Amino acid sequence: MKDILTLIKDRDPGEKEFYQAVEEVGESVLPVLDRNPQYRQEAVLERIVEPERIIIFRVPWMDDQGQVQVNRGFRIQMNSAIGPYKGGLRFHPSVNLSILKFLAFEQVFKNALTTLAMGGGKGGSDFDPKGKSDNEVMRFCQSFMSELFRHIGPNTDVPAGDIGVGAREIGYLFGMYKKLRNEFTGVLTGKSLGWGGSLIRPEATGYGSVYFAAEMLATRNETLEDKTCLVSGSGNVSQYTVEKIIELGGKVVTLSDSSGYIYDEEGIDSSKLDFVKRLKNIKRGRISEYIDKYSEAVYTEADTSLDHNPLWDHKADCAFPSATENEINEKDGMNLMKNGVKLVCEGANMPSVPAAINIFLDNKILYAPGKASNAGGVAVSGLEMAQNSMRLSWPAEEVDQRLKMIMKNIHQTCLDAASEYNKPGNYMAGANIAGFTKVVNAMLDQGLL
Amino acid sequence: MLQEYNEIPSEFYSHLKIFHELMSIKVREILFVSSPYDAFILEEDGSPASRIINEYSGLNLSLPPRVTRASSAREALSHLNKKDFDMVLTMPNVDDMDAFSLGLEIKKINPSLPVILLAHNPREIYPLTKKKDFKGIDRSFIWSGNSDLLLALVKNVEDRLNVGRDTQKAMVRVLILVEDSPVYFSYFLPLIYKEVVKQTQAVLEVGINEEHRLLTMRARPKILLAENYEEALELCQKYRSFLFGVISDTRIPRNGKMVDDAGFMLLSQMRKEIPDLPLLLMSSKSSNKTKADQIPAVFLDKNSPNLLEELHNFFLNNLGFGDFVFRMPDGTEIDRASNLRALESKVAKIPDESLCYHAKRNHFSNWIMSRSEIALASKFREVKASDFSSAHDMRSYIIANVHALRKWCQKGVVAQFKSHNFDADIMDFVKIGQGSLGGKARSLAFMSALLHQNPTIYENYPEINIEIPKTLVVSTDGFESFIKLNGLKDFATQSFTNEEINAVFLKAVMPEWLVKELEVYVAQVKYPLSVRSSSLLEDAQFQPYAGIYETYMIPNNHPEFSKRLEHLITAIKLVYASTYYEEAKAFSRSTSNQPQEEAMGVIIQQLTGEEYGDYFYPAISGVAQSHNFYPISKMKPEEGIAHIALGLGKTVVEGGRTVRFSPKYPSVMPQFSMVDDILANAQRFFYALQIRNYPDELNFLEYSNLVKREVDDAEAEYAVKLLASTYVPDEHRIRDAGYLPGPKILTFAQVLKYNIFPLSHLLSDMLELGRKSMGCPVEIEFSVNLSSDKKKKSEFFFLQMRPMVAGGERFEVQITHQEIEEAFCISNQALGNGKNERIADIVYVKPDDFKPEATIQMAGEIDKLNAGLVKEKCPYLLIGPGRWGSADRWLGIPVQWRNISGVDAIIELRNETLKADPSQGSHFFQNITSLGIHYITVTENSEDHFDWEWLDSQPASQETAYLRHVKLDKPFTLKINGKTSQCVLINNN
Repeated sequence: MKDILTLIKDRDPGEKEFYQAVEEVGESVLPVLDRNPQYRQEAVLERIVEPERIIIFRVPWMDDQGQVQVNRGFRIQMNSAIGPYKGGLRFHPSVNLSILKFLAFEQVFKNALTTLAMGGGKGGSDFDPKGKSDNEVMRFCQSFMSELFRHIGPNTDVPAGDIGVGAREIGYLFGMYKKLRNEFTGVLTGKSLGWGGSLIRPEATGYGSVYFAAEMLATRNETLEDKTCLVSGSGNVSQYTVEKIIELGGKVVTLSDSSGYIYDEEGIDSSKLDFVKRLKNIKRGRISEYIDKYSEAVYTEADTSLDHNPLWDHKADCAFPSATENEINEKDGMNLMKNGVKLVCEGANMPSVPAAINIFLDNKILYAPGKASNAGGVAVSGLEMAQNSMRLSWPAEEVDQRLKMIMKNIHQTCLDAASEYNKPGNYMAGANIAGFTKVVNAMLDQGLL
Repeated sequence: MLQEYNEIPSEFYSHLKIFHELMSIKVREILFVSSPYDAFILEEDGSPASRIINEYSGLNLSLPPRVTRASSAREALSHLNKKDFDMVLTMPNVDDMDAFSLGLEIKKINPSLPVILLAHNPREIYPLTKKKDFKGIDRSFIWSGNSDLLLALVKNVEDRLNVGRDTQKAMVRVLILVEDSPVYFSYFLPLIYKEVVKQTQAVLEVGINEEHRLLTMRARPKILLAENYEEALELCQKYRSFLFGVISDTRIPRNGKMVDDAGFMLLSQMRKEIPDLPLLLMSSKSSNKTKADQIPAVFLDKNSPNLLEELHNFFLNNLGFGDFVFRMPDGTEIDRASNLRALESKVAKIPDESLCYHAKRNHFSNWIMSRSEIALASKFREVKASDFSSAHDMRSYIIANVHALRKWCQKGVVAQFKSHNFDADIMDFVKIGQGSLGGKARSLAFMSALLHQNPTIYENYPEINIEIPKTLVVSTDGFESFIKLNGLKDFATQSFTNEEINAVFLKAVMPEWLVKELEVYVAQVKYPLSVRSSSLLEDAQFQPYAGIYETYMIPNNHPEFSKRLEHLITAIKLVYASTYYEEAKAFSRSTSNQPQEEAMGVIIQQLTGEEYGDYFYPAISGVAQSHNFYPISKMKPEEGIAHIALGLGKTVVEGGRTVRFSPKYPSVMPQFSMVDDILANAQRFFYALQIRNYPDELNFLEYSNLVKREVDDAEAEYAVKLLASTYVPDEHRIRDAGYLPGPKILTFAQVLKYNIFPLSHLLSDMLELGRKSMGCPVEIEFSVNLSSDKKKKSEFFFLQMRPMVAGGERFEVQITHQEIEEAFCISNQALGNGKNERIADIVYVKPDDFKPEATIQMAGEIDKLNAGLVKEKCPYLLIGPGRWGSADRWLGIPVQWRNISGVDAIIELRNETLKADPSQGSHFFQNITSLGIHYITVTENSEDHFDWEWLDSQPASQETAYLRHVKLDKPFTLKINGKTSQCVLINNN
């Protein structure tokens, strides 16, 4: 492992973010390397940390005042062992090669875990859309695509959106690609619904997380029916987590934001959820306004002087931390355990600190790490590609069904990998190992490329 | 052809400009030559100079001429050699020369200088020696002791000198008097002048101010005197298009001989040429009346005992100075109108036949012309009855134009409120009482005049009505009288809570005279009103008390008159009360004005907006500044910045969520770059006035009767539909159309990106106009009503303008590299300029303890620390995150001015916790910058820097839950370079 790090540090000095990613992945797959000498023999780590291709290009564009501006464009085509490169484009002044390589590297394993045929990549530019007019953004996107188009394609590389690249940018990029190639293909995901986009995108992560939780419960012959659930956060992921839990018969009693949380003993039903959706998505109001409307609920203001988050200190069966990083500390972990929580399914990225995770694992609490349980978002990107290839637009129910299937597969893959490596029920180890082995095996199958 | 009622015809734009150019040649210096004896006789009733002055002031004429007396021809000629005169008035006998010879001598010096002979009797005009050369005398008059003559002959000289230019320039009318006898014309001319001046003044529309009155007088008809047939005919031909009337004697000289009916022939000729021209034939023989009938013309018997009255009647009935008499074609009188207001309302009612009868004979034009409303009179004269397809069209055309004229006449004018002639529809700016208007109202009056004098702004935006809301100002004597009547003076000096002050003021009695005037006002005015302060100090240059006093809105539509009056009076009382609020007193102290010096005017203004169901609000309200303190992206400071919001302006002035843009680059909105930014920053609440289903007593003390509404709840209302975009959750995308299904997000895209209303151009022009006229950067408040009816124009209301304090760099501050290295704080975004070495106290929000949810407690703690520091007279530096002074507690610490009144410098920290845009645009910010408080923004993770370690290591003088107060031994040095906005704070301890 050390050798690899030294190697990349020597070769690419200054790429701190990338080193960190390599280190983390490397450590998590050490048991795999230990068990499979072939991997070492074939130098899979050395191969996997080197992008298949990096494209860096000039993006000149003219601002509204007629002044020429020049930005730098990137596309990291990291790994295509299991499918076309797939990963977002980021437009932000902080974008540089190191960050994009780090993101592309993580994307390879995230995509692999979905069980869909998607390789990994990432791209973008140091262009800052802040303070730019629509026309300037359009001119930039067109110039960006006028180079990128020759490196991507529906069977080669399918970029998506990321920070600074939303539906507007995807539209301009797609339009330019279509004009240059003279073909209408699914070369980008995140498109608008009217011309190739997929349904269930906003719902995907939340729904996916609940499907994953349901699969976990099924291993103990249980369902979400009548389960009391704690959900943190109140953004997209939390909202659709609540929606799916309600659909599957569970009862959600909490939601939160940075100002505090609400506890609704009667449960948040569909109409209450609609209110929250409007409040948070459109009005961008505070969750405290929930109690103005539903007086039976209790609002507790956030108190940073406490050593724990009182949201996790309620009697419940399941917890869905869907707000932010490190929102469950060791004490919260203890509280969850004491309150009888049997399942923790992460909707956010890394919401539980390692000490809390250990508590879950030690106490046989079903624990789904975010990298597995929140893969629904990436999965629906894959489904958008599939629909584009078939020239079909599936109805919401069909996308939802397929999402369910994918989450089921991810769950199974994690479970299998974990037990194969003697860590039964350890979804975190399973997820790390499954993604890695899938990519590596494909690389080996395809020979030294 | 037809114009909208609310449209101001463009020809009126230059209306007042024309007046300024009229009568450009004035008689200012008169040389009066008379023997001491003549002078003695003349001066029995005061000197000619004082008589002329009396006449001028009696008739409200401006600038009486100065009279220099000479008692001999020699003295007169010597004066003329030394100084310029505009006219010489001479008596026949001066000791060393007769008047005729003197005239010739004068003409040698200045051939064009008018020389007027003033004789005691006709003999002196026609001296026995026939060989006399009369060429030195321009005109001779007989002095019969009537001082009106002096005025008439001055005016007559002026008329002769100006007639050519003024008729060309402004189509000023010409009245010709044909009379050969000095006895008669010395009698008639003063009569006619006096009549013309008086009548013109009498018919000027009520309510206009003195300046307008004097200017309009310049457009009165010119009176020209002809002494024979040829001269008369020449004048008639020369000014044919401008003739207003001809008055002629019957027997006048023709071809050098007296001809009995030369006057009759002249008038007959004119009648043939201009059938509707008013003509008057005079004669000392009553038998000549048949001749007059033949012409036909009005006849005047020179021997009539009622000569004066008959002449007066001719003016009233024939020259259009009297009422407009509506007649049927057979001459039957059906109605009368005494002024334009009555004309407008009566034209709407008279039968078609009468309308056509008058229109075809130019009666409307004549009548309007006699009111010196040249532009409209000419316009009416130019259109023919046959231009209209129906009498209905013609009627609408006349009404629309008269209405527009009446409105226009009132623009730019502060009229005195008079109960008997107040017309709410026409009068844009009126004042009750004789006291001062107060600062804010003064600036409103200035804006009103400014717009009036810069008509290009109207011409550049023909599709928009640019207006100042109708305004009534209760001048400061209302306040003084109220305070005196109720004995409330003590509140100025003693300390009471705002609630206590309100309670006492609400119980106090409004002076009766004021209530009476307000009754008249409320009886006519039916639209919602805003009632706000206009303090003597407020908005004064460099001391803008922006938003220190309260503003109250009232719906003014209660079915009971008494309730409406009561609401208005309550609002005024509360505005008066706010003079003595602690907030206002604190501000006064910091500007070293004593609160007792405060005298308050009250502005009662039409609240701008539209009705939307139960609510009333403008589509857009905003603040624009000609100097941008935070130029980001490609913006430059001098290009200015604007903040706009839906609904009433409270959102903007309180620093709520608004859209910020540079008028130069309206489509660049930094806070609206990406979908998440838009969702997070879009306005969620707005203020509206509830105009239905409100409690009888209203709700003055909470939001000043306003309702805080959610944009969401108003998404079906036109303004929201038009200004909002639609969020498409499935695509996480915002589409710039308010008519799609889905949640509405206020982006103002239709205005800023697609220019359905040219707001940014208009703001740029307004800011430029304001900056030029005030001579410094300015801030304007405005609102916009967007018309949903294509036939109706959208409206832009100019609400307020005040100076900004910026660019006051008097000396350049150099910041050295060494200073940058030594500094404990470096900022590249600081406001102000100069060096400050008097701050040793630092109050800061402990960075680790800051919590967005605790900002209210923090404001309370700051207030307490401030009070102590103010007492000790220790100016301090205040440091904290987010938007200072924001009313939104989630955007920053919601302090008000009084909570931080002792502050000398402020640091606003911008970091990830509070991503609020900077505070500028709010009243709070305006006050901070106008008092020259250094305002420094330190942005984390940028080139800015703050040494927290050093500050935290200093011993605390006081510490609270969220704050720390550090007292340094020696003051630190603060330097701001106003040109580069760079700032350093250097520790000297």
